Amino acid sequence: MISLFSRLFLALCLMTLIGCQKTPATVASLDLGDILGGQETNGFERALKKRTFHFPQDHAAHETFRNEWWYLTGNVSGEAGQSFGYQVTFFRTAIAPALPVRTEIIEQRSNWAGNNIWMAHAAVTDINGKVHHHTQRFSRANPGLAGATIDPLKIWLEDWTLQSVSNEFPWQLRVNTKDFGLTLELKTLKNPVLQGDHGLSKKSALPGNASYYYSYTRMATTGNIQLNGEQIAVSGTSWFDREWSTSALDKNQSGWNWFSLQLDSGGDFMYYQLLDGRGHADVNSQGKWVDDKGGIITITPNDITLTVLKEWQSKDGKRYPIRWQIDYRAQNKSWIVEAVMDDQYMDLAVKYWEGAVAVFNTESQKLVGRGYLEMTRTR
Amino acid sequence: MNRHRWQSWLTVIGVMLGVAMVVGVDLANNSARRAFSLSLQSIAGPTTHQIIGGPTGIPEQLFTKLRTELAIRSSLPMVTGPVIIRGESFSLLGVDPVSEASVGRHTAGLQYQGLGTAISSRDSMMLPERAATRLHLKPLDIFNLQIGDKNIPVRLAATFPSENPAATDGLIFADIAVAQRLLNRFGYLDRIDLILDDKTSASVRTWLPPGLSLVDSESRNDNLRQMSEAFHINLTAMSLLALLVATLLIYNTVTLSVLQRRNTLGIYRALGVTRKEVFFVVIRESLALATIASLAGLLLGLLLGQVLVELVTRTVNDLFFNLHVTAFIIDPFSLLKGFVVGLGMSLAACSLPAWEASRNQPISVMQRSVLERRWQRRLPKFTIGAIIMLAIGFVMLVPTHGTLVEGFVALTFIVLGFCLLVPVFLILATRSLLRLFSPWLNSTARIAIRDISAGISRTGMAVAALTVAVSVTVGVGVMVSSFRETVNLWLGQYLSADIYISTADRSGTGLTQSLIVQLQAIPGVSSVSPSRVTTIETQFGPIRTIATTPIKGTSSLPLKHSVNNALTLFDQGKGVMITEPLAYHQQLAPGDSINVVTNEGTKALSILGVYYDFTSSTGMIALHRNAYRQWWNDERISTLSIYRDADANQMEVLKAIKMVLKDEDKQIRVSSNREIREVAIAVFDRTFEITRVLRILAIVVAFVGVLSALMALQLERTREFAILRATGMTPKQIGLMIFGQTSLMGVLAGIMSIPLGLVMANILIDVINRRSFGWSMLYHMPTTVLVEALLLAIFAAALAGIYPALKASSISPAQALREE
Repeated sequence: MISLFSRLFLALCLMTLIGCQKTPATVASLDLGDILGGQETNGFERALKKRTFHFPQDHAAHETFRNEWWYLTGNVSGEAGQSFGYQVTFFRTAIAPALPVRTEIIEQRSNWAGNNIWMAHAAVTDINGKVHHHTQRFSRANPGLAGATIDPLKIWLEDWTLQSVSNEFPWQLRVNTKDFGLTLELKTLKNPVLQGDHGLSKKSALPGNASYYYSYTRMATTGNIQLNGEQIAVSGTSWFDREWSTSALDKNQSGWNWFSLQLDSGGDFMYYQLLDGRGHADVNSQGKWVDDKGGIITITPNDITLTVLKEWQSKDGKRYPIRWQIDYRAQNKSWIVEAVMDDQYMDLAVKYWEGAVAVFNTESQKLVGRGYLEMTRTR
Repeated sequence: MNRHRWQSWLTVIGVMLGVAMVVGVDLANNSARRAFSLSLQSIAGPTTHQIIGGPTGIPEQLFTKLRTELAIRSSLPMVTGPVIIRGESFSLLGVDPVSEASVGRHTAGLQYQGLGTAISSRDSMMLPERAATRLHLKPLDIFNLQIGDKNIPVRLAATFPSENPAATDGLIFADIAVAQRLLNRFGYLDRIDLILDDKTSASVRTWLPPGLSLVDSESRNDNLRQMSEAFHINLTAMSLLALLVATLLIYNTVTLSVLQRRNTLGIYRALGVTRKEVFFVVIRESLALATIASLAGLLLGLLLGQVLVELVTRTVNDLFFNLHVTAFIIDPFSLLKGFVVGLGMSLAACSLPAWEASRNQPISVMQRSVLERRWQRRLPKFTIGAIIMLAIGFVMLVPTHGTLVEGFVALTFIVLGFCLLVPVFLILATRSLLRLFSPWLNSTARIAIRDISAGISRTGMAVAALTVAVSVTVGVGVMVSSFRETVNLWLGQYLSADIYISTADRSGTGLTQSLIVQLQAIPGVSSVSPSRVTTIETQFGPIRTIATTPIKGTSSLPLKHSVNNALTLFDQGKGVMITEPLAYHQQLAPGDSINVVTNEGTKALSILGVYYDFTSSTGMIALHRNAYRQWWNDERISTLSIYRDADANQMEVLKAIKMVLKDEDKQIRVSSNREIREVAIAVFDRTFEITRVLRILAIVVAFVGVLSALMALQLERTREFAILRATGMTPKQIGLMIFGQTSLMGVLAGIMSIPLGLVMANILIDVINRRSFGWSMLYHMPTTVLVEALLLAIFAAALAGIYPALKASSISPAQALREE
């Protein structure tokens, strides 16, 4: 899913960021297909074959690829029974391939030079208060305004940081916005999961339309949420997704639905359903089941049935399913996945629905887990 | 009125010119002011504060810290520098398009593609659409940027719509990385614009390291704006003087028109027309004339304004601030103002004669002698009034720190007082002429002379108008000439070295210590003195500063006054010298101190002396380069002053220096003492071009005024001439008499204009100039200006006499008298 999303991200976000200042018409007139089709892949590396992942090195940026993201979602609760969903994402995109080395040797370079633009999103869903706070940031990368490095690990955009004192866990997440703040400590409970085929996640039949993708599916999370001037101690579970790629989906793909569910039983479920031009599931949809011991099983479209039970319509007229039935036939499991709040729309430069969900056993109707759902509709 | 078309037309022209001057100057002033605020605004945008660095600029790491540690998000980094594109001056603004977009400023109108190219490429430029169209540039076009002496090819990545096209015209944008490369400003920013509330601004202020300061955009812009205000006031005052001459002209015309029609008006009154009605008949006619004249003046003012705005902008650029906007803005208010002033002055000028006409008994209106007698009676009152006005004027000039406007009000009182004295002078002058030259005068001449005082009601104001008009040319002429002479002398003293080497490159990396060593090795070079020109922040705002290395035992600064041992203390870095304008405007004297922001924090530097300087009307600071290096940690050199041995040949030394510099691939310029002097004088002349233009306009108004007033005066006397003819005067005698009489009035006006002009020059030099700029200057009275004034007055008067003389001499007495 990343390639489409992040391709869109710069094109859309910068255009809308700029457009939304005065001329919303610019945004409306955007033709997504053009952006996706028009982007040059020349000069960038592409995810063509399997690779060996190294940690923590792969936590840092891969600037030879066009797009990259660091994606944290989680469900946490306070001692007084408050429950929250949160999302913090750092996106990197290169607007052009790096300059040829020759040029850089000849002349002195400004510390501001560089091709990377960063975007970050942060959101908190106050489930009891029924409020979804969300905000965004943009910055160029240089000089030192945003980036992702190791030794020690640090992913940042201005004062929003995800970092570690070394390269090891725990990681510290710090985000401050006008409306809310997050100070969380994250510690993984499972080894990283390489998504797709040993980390090569193909999005369409075309070679290169793929990303490198790994996840930490279960991270113990403790810390504070600052909301309405209050400091609330919280704990819970987070999910960390990492993806980088260069090329987009096929032109006829129109969005996706992405599930990350953490079940009380200890199992973690990830599945992304790519949508074709008519809004039907694409054959390249896939996922992983990670059991409580860390054992991994690949999920193909044949293993699973997704049924929409209820939809919510955004202000711009797009329809997003907020209640699903997932029948994971291969494992004989069936869940109802329901948004904890209907409107968890990320009404930002790039618009999408991303929110906390509760997972119920279809049969018993009992709460059996929590998770996050992300849905994009490009048309 | 038809009977005297000439006179009416000339009055219309006079008033028209007066109104045109007021309107033209006002439009030009407003355009320049508007350009000024647009220039400031367009760069600052919606920001509230600015971080300003010391001489070197702001280390760019500070910006990163501001964003990542202080989380000040509405912060906009900027690098700026002047560039030339296809012969046009532009300001290159190196910005971060992502930040600009977030506050909707500058490049915010960029589309994605353009933005992407702008950020990622090394030579991409962004232009507002209007400027691109004007320059005939399309996206992807390659063009040259002239920076200093270099031409650098760049590419137009994108154009964008600008919300305020007038404001962004003259700006070219590039990504900050590109701009740093082009301007050679690696590692530094020129400013950081911020949007802050009071609380955050306080915390940013305390957080800033020494050497950097946070200033309020609004107050900083106000400071900059005030710099040129005095200049604008000066121009307005000059245009008002022209209008004053025009007013005197109207007064004169209306008086004459009343006199001409005393019969008609008398008959009206006898027929029962009320005083009020007579008053309004006169007023109405004059207003009709004034309306036509004022409307024509507006049109002419529009044309004139377009010429003047260039001159005004150029002067503002030379003296105060680099305007990148040069728009001619037609302010409807200026037009309205010009029109109202034209009409108002006309109304004021004609109401006195109108009142005069209505006040009279029917029978006395018909008698001119009644009016003349009344005037004669009034003369002592005039004289007392004149003395009071002059006294007020001179008293107002006494305080040394009065305002500029007070200075002009005083000047006006003095001019008006002088005007009131003119009739008395005229009477005294003609009487003494008659007495002194009586044996040599024939009857014709005697009549001619006596007539001037006999008809004082008409001649008085005509000569006063002529006197004021001519005196303006004297006053301004003497002032400009004094100024030029002073600057010339000062340059001789100030430019003590023989050869100067400077670099246009602001980082000044081209001029190095090793270059000094090389230059010193050239035979014939006795010493090389490095200096750094920069701007430092002080309690009075940013002030241009020169850090010099005086050669032992000499001072290149022409001192006005100083503390004891000033030169020694200066060499020891124990204080600074300030220029005269700075001392005047901020009321500083040797022994006081000035607070400056150094890299070690704010320091109070003691003022060792005040020196003459004409390079900046806002003031400058000079300090020893050693002290500067220590406090600002800046080793760079802007200028090298080279002194050669007395017996060395200038050309040979120059040649050798150029050889040394040949290997330096930097923007280095070598100039001889003489070249710099020439440039400086050229800049001076350019600065005063506007004054010269206004002076010429004043001369034209004066000329037209005299022509109209004197011609009317003579034409009105047709019947009188007919009687003279009938009593035996020959046509030739009549012609000569008229010609001689007007010429005499011209001579008298010319003579009277000289003392008034010199008083005016004195006021301009010692009061107006000092209050405007703080410069003191030597008094230099060129005889050419005085001769010019006399010739102008006589020529105009003589010319005015020709037509009436011809007409009167060809008159048929019988016909002229038949009307009786």
